[in-house]
Amino acid sequence: MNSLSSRLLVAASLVLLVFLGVTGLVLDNAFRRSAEEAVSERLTSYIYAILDPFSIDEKTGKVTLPSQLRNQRFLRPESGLYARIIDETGHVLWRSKSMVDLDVPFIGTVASGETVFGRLDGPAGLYFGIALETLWDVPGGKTRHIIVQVTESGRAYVEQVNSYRRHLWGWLLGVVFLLLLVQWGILHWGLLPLRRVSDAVSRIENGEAEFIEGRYPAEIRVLTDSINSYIRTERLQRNRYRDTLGDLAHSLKTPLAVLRGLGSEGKIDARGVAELNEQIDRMNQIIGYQLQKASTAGRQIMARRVPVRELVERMVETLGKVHHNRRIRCVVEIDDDVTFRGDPGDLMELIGNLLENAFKWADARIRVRAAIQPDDQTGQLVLCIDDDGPGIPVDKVDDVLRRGVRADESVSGHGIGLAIVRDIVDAYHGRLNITRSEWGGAAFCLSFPC
Amino acid sequence: MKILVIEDEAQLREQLKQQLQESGYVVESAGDGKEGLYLGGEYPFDLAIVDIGLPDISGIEVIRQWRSEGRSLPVLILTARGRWEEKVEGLEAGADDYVVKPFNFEELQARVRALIRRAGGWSDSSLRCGPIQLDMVQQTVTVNDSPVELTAYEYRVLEYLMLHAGEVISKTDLTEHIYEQDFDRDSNVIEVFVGRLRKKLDPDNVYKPIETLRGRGYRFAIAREAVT
Repeated sequence: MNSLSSRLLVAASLVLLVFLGVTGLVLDNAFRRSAEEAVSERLTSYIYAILDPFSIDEKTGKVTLPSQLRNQRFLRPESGLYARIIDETGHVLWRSKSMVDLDVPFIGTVASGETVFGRLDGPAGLYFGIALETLWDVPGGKTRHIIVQVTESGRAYVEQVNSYRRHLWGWLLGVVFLLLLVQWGILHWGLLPLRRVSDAVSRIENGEAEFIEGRYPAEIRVLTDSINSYIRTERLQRNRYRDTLGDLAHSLKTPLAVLRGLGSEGKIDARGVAELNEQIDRMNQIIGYQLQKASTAGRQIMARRVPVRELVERMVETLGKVHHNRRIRCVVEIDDDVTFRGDPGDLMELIGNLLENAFKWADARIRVRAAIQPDDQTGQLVLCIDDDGPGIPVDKVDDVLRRGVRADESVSGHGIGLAIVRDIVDAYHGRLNITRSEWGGAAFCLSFPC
Repeated sequence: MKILVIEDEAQLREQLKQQLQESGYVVESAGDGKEGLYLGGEYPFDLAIVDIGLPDISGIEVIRQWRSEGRSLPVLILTARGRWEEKVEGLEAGADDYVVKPFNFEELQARVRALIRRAGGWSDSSLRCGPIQLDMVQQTVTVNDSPVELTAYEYRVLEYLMLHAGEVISKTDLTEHIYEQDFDRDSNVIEVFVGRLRKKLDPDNVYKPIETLRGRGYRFAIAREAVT
C-alpha cells in the first residue's frame, strides 16, 4: 500500500461499497414493506368482499354465499387464494372452493372486532394471512361470533421481491463498477501532475534535463519551484566553490613556483636548496591534496549520470598525446550505457590520476574497463585500469593509499594522485582495490553503488 | 631553439626566462595573452610555454587561436589548479604537454626538450646521424665517440640543423632561432659558425655533414639513425 493512488483507490472503493450496500439494504427493506402492505390491503378487501354477500341460516347454521364470488380465484382449486369462516369454537362454517382439501394455514385467534395480518408458514412455503373477528346479526335478533380468514400464497410476493432484488443489486453492481471506473479515472487524472514531477526528476537524474520543466497545478508548483531553485543554487554554489578553490590554488602555487625557481638561481647553497625544495614540496602536496578534497563534490542528491565511455576516451586520447613517444597501447572496453552517477569533474579526477599513473608505469599496455555489475540492490559500477608495468607489491599497497600527505615520493613513485583517488572514492561510498593485472602490473579497481 | 614564455606572474616569468637562457635557449616572454598572441604570430618559435591562468585572454584561448591559424609549434601548459578538467581542456585545445606548478625546473626542461625533439621527429634526446651524435641533455657532441668542443652558438646551430636533419634551413631561419629578437643580425656570422662546425666535425672532409644550397640555405645531409 505504498502508493498514493492505490491508497486512495482502496479507501474510496471501500466507502463506495459500504454506501451502496447500505443503500441496497434500505431500498430492499422499503420495497418489501410496501409489497407486504399491498398484500395486506388486498386481503382486507377480500374479507369485505366475502362478508358482504354472506348469510347464515339460523336453524341449520349453514352459511350461504352466492356461488358467484367476485374473485374467480376463490373458486379455482389451488389458485393460491383461500378463505374460510369459522365460529368461536373453531367450527368451519364455510370454506372457499379453491381450498379443495388442501392444508392451508390461517391466522388463528383474534380479539373481538380486530383485524390481524401476518406471515404464515405452510406446506408450500410462505403465506400471508388475514383474519377478522366480528359479530354477525343472525335473523331472530341474535348475534354470533364468527372469524373470517383469508390466506394468500406468498409465491407472487416472493417472486416480486426476488425480481426486484435482482434488478436492484444488478443495477447497484453496475453503478459500483461504473463509479469505480470513474474514480480510477479521476485519481489518474488528479495524480497525473505528481507522476509528471517524478518523471521530471528521473529525467534530471538521467541527465536528460537540467530542471523540472513544464507547468504544474498550484499545489505542486511550490514544490517544483523550490526543487528547481534548489538545483540552481546548488550548482551555482558548487561552481563558485570550485572556482574559489581553483583561484586559491592558483594564487598559492604560483608563489611556490617562484620560490622553487629561487632555489635554482644559485643564490642559495645546495643544502639550503634541498631544504627549500623539501618544504615547497610539502606545502604543495598539502595544498593540492586538501583543495582537491574540498572540491570533491561527492555523492549528491539528483546527481546527473555521466556517460563513462565518452569521458574515458577523451582522457585516453589527451593523455595518449602527452605520452605519445611511449608507444603504449591503451584499450578501452566500456559499453555505451555505462554511466557514473555523480560529478563529471570527480570522475575526471579519478580517471585522470589513475590513467596518468598507468601511463607512467606501463610498459606497453593499458586497459580501461567499466561495467555495471548486478548486486542485490541497484547494481554497481566497476571501473578497472590495468597496466603491464612493475605493479605494486602487496605490502606497499597501504603506503600507496595512505591518507594525508607524505612528502616521501619514493613510495614507488605514486604521488598524491592515489590519495586523491581514495578520497573521492570514499566521498562516493565506493571501494578501491589494488591487485595485480593479468600482465603482472598494477590493477586499480573502483566500484560505486549505482 | 627559440622559446616563447607567456606567464603573468612577473617574477616567475623572469626566472623561467633566465633559467631557459642559461640552458642555451633563446627566450622571448609575454606577460599576458594578448602580447603572447602577437609574439607567437610574429616570430617563428620552436616551443611555447603558456600559463593557463592568464588574466585577459586565457592560455587555452591563446592555444586555440594558434591552432586555428595553423601554427603547429609544440605548446607546454603551466597549470596551477591541477584539476584534470583544466589539463584536459588545455590538451584538447591543442597543447602537447602540461606541467603543474610549482614545478622542478629540471622537470620542465626535460619536457621542453622532449617536445622539441618530438617536433623534429626524434624519439630520443640523443640525436645520431652517422658518426655524429648530439646529446640534448648533456649538450655534448661526439664524432665517432670522441668528444668535440663547441661554443654555445655553434652548439645551437648544430642542434637546430640536426633536429631538422634532411630539411633545408635558410640563414634567416637559423638566425631567428638562435638569436633574441633585438639582436643585431648579420647573416655572415651564420656562415662563420657553419664553417667552424664543418672543420670541427669533419676535419678531413669525409662525411660532409652540412650541405650548402646556394641561395636557399643549409641542410644536415647525413641520414638519421633511429635510436631504439
